[in-house]
Amino acid sequence: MVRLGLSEITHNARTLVVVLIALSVALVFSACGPRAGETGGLDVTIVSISPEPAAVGDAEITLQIRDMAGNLVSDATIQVEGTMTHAGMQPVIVATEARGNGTYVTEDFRFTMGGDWVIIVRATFANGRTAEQRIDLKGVQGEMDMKSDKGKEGN
Amino acid sequence: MAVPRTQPSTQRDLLNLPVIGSFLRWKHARTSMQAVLLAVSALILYDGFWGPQLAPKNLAGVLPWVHWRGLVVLALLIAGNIFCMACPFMLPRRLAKKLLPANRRWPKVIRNKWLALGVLLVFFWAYEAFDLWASPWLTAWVALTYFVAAFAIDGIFRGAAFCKYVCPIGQFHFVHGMVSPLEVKVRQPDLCGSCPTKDCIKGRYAQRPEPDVLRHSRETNAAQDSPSLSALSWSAKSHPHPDPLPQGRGSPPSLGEGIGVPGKSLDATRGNSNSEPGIRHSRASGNPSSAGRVGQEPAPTTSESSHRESKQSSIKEPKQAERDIAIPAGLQLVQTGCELWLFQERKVGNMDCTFCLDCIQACPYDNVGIQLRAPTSEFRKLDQLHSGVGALAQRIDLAALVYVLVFAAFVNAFGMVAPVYALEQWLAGQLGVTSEPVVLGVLFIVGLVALPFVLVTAAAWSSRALSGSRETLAATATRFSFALIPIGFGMWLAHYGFHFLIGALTAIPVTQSFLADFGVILLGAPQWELAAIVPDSWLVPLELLLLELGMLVSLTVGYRIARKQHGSMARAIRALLPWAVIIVLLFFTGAWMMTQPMEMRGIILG
Ligand code: SF4
Ligand code: SF4
Ligand SMILES: [Cu+2]
Repeated sequence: MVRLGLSEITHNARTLVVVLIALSVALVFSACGPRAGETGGLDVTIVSISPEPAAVGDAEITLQIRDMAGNLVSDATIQVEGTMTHAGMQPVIVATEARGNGTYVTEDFRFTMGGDWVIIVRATFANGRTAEQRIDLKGVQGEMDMKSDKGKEGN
Repeated sequence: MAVPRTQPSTQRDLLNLPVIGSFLRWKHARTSMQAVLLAVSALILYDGFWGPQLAPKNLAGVLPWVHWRGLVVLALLIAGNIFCMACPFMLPRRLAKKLLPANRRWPKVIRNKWLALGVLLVFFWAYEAFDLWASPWLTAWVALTYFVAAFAIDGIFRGAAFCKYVCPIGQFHFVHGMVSPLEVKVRQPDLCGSCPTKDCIKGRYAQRPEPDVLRHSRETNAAQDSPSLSALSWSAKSHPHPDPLPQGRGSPPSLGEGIGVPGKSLDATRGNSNSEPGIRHSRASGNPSSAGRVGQEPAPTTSESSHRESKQSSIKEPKQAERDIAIPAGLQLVQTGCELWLFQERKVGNMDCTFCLDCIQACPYDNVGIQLRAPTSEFRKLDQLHSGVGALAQRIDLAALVYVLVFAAFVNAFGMVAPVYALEQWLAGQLGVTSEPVVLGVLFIVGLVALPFVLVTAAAWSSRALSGSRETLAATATRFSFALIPIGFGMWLAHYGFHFLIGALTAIPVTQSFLADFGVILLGAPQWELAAIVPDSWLVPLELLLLELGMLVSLTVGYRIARKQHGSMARAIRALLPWAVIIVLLFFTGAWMMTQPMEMRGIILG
């Protein structure tokens, strides 16, 4: 039985081309650093979500926003996106109303299903700069939890 | 060659269509499709490993779970196994075939679907246990594992061992491809009978110039009376299976013989199949030089004697079609034949066919097409010997795969509705464990193994009792497993179709944001509000419709299977009854799930 010798490989120009492509793909990969995706530059605290605990249905989220220096930001346009940890779901994207003192309240936000949500807060500052922060919001109650919670103490 | 080309086919054939046809006939059609998907896979790997770890914002979270899964089931419904045709894992694998020996025979004990079934079970469990859908990073690891596995396995073993015996995705396609409307099939069966070369299975060879280095060493070697390098080199280089022992030789059907006759199909010498365990073969007989090896792993001249012949560089012309064709030295493989060991002349249906088009490219008479067929026609041929597969009605391993896939359709969908969390909590309490993987492991063993086993055994037992059939329990369960494919497929379609319909447009903002991170601004800021392509209100009715269709087709197929086995209508209905109960139960289970509130979370038990 004869195995493929090195001389045979090098004789096959097509193989060489394929090897080169594979190597260059590997190179490109190792050259690339992580992509940003999360822009940062914002310090967001969820002050409250009503009703509490978060559950399927209409909700109002109150946020407090600071810049990275710790100063309250009151003059930015804030958009809130609620999305699931599962891809391909319709996100809930709403505007907010500024209440002064770095506080913003969502308008017409709605949890469309139970489960693990991610709240993405996007700020557009007066000077046009944008920043973003993500906050995990696990275990938004679904209809079943809400039923079984009746008669139980809230946790 | 004297054999005429085929007449323009009267069958409806994809290859006869204006644009698609000429594209598919193009030599590099498959490679170009694979290249596109390979590029997409590279993006998925990159984003999965180095992109934002939030599934809806990452290509690895979106493209595989929303788009690819949805498009795969839709393609199976309206066409066939298009994903395997364009499978990106095949490109590195082709490299492996060139760089590595790829000459081992796949171990006989796993020359069946059991291994793939195991892999599939592990995958379904891991998908929920580690929330693969929520982790781009893990998704990328799964994809990378695929590439490496296909490369390694097919670099070690002959033919398309990975596709046929390992790849869980491939098994999904093979099983559900049974209801697809397209099939890679011979146009004029008679022509195959008189075909002297059988290129569709053996591959096509052509003269090639002998490289100087080889000629030189051949001359040197000849002087030393050692084996000629050039005579051997073809078998190492231009033939995919240099092992001198062809696999499964010894079931030589004479060429031109019809496809196995139902009822007589136990005699493997009449049809042929590869050497799958679980299929009875007569291995003892066998004239190695007969063309009987056609349709098993192709190994045209790899017997010792033909080696000797080719060493003498004698170009052996076939005296008759039944003679094996020797591939003399200096011939180079220019087109592989079917690497899944399906011989066109006796190939039946879509089982194990990756739609790779190799047979279409290889056949010198243009006698293979991609033909339109009745989507359920394959279920009438369960007893017929399928080349490279055997008789489906005797493949217990295949039946087990079918049952697991059918029940997995429901378990997988159950994983995303609210009641599953209550069930998990309850089970965790009963078992006294807090580890989600363990709880899910138990759930999956019950849902995908124990429950199907009990239901199927009960159904097979009552089917036999009611109809007075003398077939064994296992044989009955195997035969009727195929009737469940349509309802399972209906559920997969409903589930994956749902994700695709409500999330198809999410690819746009995710791509926008991906590009933006590289400084390319496409159509402004990412439009995260883009998602669904149909109104919400359509979804449940559409899902129900698909499931209903699945149920109806399952009942019809089940009836046909029973009728074929039992003849009389009354007996057939009695034999079908228990299976019909399972089919209807599955339908109501699926319909109930569709009306449950959706919920998606990686739960914390305790
Ligand atoms: S069976 Fe082969 S072609 Fe199909 S998905 Fe698996 S690796 Fe790809
Ligand atoms: S070569 Fe084999 S797997 Fe490929 S399309 Fe033809 S029959 Fe199917
Ligand atoms: Cu789902």
